[in-house]
Amino acid sequence: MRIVVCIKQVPDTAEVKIDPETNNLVRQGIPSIMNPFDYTALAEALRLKRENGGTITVISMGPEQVKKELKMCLKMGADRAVLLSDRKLGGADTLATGYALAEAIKKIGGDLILCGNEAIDGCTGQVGPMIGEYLNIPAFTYVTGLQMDKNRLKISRKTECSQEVYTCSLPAAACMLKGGEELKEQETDREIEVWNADFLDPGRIGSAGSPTKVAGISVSEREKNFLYVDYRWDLETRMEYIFNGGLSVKETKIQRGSARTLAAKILGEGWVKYDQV
Amino acid sequence: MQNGPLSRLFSPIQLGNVTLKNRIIFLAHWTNYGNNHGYKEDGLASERLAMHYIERAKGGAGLVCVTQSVSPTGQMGRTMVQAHDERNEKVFRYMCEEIHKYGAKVFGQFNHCGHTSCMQRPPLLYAPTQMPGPHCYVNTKELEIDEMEEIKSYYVKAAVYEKEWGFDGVELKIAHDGLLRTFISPYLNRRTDQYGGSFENRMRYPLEIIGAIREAVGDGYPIGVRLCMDEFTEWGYSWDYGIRVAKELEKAGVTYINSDAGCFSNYNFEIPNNYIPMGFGVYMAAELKKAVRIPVAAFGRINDPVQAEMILEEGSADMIGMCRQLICDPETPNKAREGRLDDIRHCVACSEGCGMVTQQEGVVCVHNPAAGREKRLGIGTLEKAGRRKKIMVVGAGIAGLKTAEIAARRGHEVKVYEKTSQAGGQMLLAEKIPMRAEMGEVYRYLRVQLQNMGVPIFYNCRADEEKVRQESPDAVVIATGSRPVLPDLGKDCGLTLLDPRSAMEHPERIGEKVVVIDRIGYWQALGVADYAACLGASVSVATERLFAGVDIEETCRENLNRRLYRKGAEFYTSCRLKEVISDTVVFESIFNHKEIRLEHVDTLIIAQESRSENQLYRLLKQKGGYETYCVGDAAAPGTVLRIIFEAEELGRKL
Amino acid sequence: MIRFDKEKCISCGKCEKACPFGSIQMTEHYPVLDASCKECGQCVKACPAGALNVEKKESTIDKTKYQGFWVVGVEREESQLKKVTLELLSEARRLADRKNSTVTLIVFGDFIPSAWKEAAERTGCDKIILLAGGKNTADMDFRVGAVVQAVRAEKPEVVLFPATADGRDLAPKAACRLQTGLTADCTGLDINEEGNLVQIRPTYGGSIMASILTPEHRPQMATIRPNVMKIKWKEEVKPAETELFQVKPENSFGRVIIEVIQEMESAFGNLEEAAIVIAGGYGLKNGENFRKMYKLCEKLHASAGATRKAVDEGWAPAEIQIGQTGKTVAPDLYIAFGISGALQHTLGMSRAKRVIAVNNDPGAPIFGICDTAILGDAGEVLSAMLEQIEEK
Repeated sequence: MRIVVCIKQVPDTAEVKIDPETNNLVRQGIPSIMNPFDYTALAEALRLKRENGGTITVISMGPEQVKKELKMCLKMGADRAVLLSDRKLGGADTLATGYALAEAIKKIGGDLILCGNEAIDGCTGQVGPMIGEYLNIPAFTYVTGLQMDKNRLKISRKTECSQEVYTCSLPAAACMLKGGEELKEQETDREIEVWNADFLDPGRIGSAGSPTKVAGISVSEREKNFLYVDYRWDLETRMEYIFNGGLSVKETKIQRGSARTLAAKILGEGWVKYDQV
Repeated sequence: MQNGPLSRLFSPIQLGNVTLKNRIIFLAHWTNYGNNHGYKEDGLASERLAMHYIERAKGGAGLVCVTQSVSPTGQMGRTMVQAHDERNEKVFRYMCEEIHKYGAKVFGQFNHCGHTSCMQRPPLLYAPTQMPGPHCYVNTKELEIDEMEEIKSYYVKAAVYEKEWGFDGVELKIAHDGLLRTFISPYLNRRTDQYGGSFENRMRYPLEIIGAIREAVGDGYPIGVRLCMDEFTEWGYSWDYGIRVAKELEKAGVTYINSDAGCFSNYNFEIPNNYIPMGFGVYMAAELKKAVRIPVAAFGRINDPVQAEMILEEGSADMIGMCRQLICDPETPNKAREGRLDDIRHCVACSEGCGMVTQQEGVVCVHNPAAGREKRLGIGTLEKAGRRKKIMVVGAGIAGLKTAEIAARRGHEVKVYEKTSQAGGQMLLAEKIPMRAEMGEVYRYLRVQLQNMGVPIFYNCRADEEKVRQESPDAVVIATGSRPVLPDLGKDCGLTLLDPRSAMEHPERIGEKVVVIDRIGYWQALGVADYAACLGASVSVATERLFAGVDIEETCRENLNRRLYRKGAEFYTSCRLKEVISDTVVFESIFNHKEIRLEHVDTLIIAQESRSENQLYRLLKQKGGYETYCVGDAAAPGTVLRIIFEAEELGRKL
Repeated sequence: MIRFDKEKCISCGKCEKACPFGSIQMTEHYPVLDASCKECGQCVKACPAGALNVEKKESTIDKTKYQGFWVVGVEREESQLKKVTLELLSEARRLADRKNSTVTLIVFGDFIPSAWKEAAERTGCDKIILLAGGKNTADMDFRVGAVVQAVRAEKPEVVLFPATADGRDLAPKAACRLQTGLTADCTGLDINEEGNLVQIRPTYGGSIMASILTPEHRPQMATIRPNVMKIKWKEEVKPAETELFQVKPENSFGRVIIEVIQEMESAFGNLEEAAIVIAGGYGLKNGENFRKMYKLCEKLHASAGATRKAVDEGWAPAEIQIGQTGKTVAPDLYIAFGISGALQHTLGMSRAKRVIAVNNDPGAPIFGICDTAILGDAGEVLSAMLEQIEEK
């Protein structure tokens, strides 16, 4: 079974800094990591290879720096690594990225294409399904597990409201949800192959091949998942805010009674159905 | 460990030329474990002190900070170790070596106490400008420049010595206590020389000290600052000022900023107790992260590795400072890394054990008896029992649970018998006191430990002599607790008389006008008063003492008072109960016998001492035939602090 | 493409400073744009000499032929339209009104339950297209093929999908087949002066908001997260036109065999979408009470939630944990059983419109923030509620 794993190098998003003076992204010195979802895809590929035999090729589209992640994949057990790198590929949106990777995968040849369900920087989750479309194979998202059952692939999928199991014949593609595995690295002398974009249609790659365009950006106030105390408030307000956990305190009278009467009270409340605005 | 859970918490970080193996810092705190052998023989490092820090390194923390005083005039207490004293070399070398063996790093935190002394009758206190406290009435001496130079040279001396002795870095305290914050504080520094009068001038002294230390230790050696971001007082500065200071410190080449808040005038944010939400201080670290590029540590009741990881993931901080959590469970980092999250004993923020820092004992922890006693009770000191005994523990309150835990760990076959349907004993009521829900951790942790060790707890099982005979154990531990006691108020009493336990078990019996008499000085009185007030009752608290809750930890007592006063409670102090006539309660002042009459009272709650319930113990002891022990309230009614320690000792003895 | 005219450049370097992505480096006095350039145009705006310009491509399609705002519903067997579908219909209505256009709901299958139709009409939906055909309309491949055929036939200008797992599966496949632009997880939409759809979404973990356009391709497609748009009911409700679209069979149908689709217990339904959330905490004391709570959820059409302590005790699955380290919910009604209201939890539900709290500690912090405060044993009150419901 030939497995191809698509990986992406992403900035460690917690480290992405905005320069407080210019409100612009500070690109220098931000550590890069392999997209954690892709890490799981590789782990799944290694497991399938152990169980069913075959080869694993890891591929990524990006600049020179991505070699660091591809090398790590080789050390973790991939048989082959391809870096698709070319200035002309820059500025690609998901459609153009999907096209480029799919064409490369056609050259490599794959029975099972794996990738992470989404990348932690863009978070679109679109490239995986698009690769499936370009290769005209079934593609599954939100995958929690894969198994080969004779010659059919069995896919476990989890959505916010269901657990699902599908089967299909290969070739197929699967986009993995994040797991918690840790892979061991071993020294290897396998080299990374670097391909340029000469084999691709120039009108379908890079920004030329991207129907979506960024019209503007702004710094957003991230939803604060902690108590936020404004320094301008006076002491009393700051203290009370902290004591009350940042919530506005209502003077609600506590109602007492037997369990029955209290239950009746709750059921008797006018339910706010989502019908009403 | 890229993909594992808690991967950020256990990723390394570079501070200057030092690499920390994970993001967990054991924040510096005064332990009171140093030695005080008298005048000019004080502030000496001791084995007890060293072992305290080594234990936290053993438990897996990435960085351990050791609080010390610089200059003989800068001690908060006589046991505060003097960093510049060569006599401390031997102990410190040993301590640093041991800490390094566990892969942790150690920084010395230097502080001159300035006007914040913990001694009730302090020696001469120094400040940039003469003024009392304001947290106390003792007035200060305005520092002269040559005195400031001398203090600076002590800082340098300490830094140089400690670098030699094995410390990996220096942390300067410009925090809730100490001299340096009083210099940067606009309210406390009114100097008219070059060290006061403007922001630049106020920063001058701390920056000079940093510069001098930097010159002495060279580049690369980390110099961090524990910085108070918000003084949390009416007169004090808020965190925008803290950010301004942080930016200056960054310019001066400081390696990292460890956030902090509060001051002696407002302990709530310095050593936050259970009334303050967990992780309340994260916003200060997050704002720092926006303003400076050097690493930032978050603080403030972070006792949970999952929350710590989330803080790092959201980019609110680079490191997590935990102090009391590691005092409570030094193995928190190791347990978190191994995924044993439910094995972690969480700090309940009662501040009671660690609040003992000013007492003889020094820092202890109410539910970690090994804190401060690392030599005898620390990691690795628990020895298996020589002979495996069959042990019956009667009572699943915290005394019984703790004894069972230790005995089971030592290899004994333990069974616990509880007459009610739940474990926890009186702690089940303690956790019902408003905002004290976290106290439940004390028994919950033990219950989980027993479950994991397969120790059965038989509920709804009243163990009596017959049961003991049936089981035929080698040893019986009686932890049957105590029962509340109420005085007889005579036939004229026309109101509901309750003890605190009944009041909280049966809140329907609490009426609209409640009087609470504090004859115990502890949580049973003010806690029940708070409970009744939350129910909507109008509450009066009376006590024979000068104030209610004399034995409650002081920062909690302050918050209890605040809550009660806000709900309209009335306090009657220095008065004793004279009589109850129908629904009128009469008190008289103990000083001048003046009467206070409270009318139309419907509920009177008297919080006084309980009596031990230990009939079974006395019976079995008399009859002989088994090793019989009595522990907890069954021996004498007491507090969590005493009882957990007692149970630990008993468990080790069995 | 950003074109650089060396002749005009005055080497001021303002372009380098203006680039939000750090893609420009002044090298030997002239700007060099690297592969990360997103063509956002900030450098063009900043250049005082007009040396940088956005190269406009010739339009290859007649955009006027594309009319109408579509919302694709990804429901399967639900008795009601999903809340997110109604949110998208409301938003589509708002946008369509800006262009005097129409709103169409796309439904898979050959009939629409009357409850769905009524709800859609109340948001101002003008038309409903039923995509009929295929043995199993839950089949993903069928759905992609159906949407693509319908779009090619009817030419809508905008197609919106919910950013649920199924929506995020369907939309990229359809976009790829249609070779058009798709923006994921939009938190805001707008129409700009040129009549194009502006798609606003967070990137880089949320610290930057990007405005995206699909200027030269149609339809403009976007997925939108639940609980982002507001449902808006119209006062005047008009009936919607219903059209049956027969989907032609394609080779790709039936490639995948659905073995099992197990809807999670309705109590564990999509928490973040639920209008009513009933959550349990440590005060429920045991798993039995939690089971009762799940039953209550089913009876009241509510989603179940839990605090971290309850999850740690094993009484509830981690997926329904609400709080700082769990999910954030903003339901219309939140009933808290045995929850003390510590900050770690309340941060996850503080935006609930109405809160009823049941707890037997009068000092529980949750009583300070709720609208109805019930003092009692959570388990007992819960049981009493179930009894009373069963009696009716």
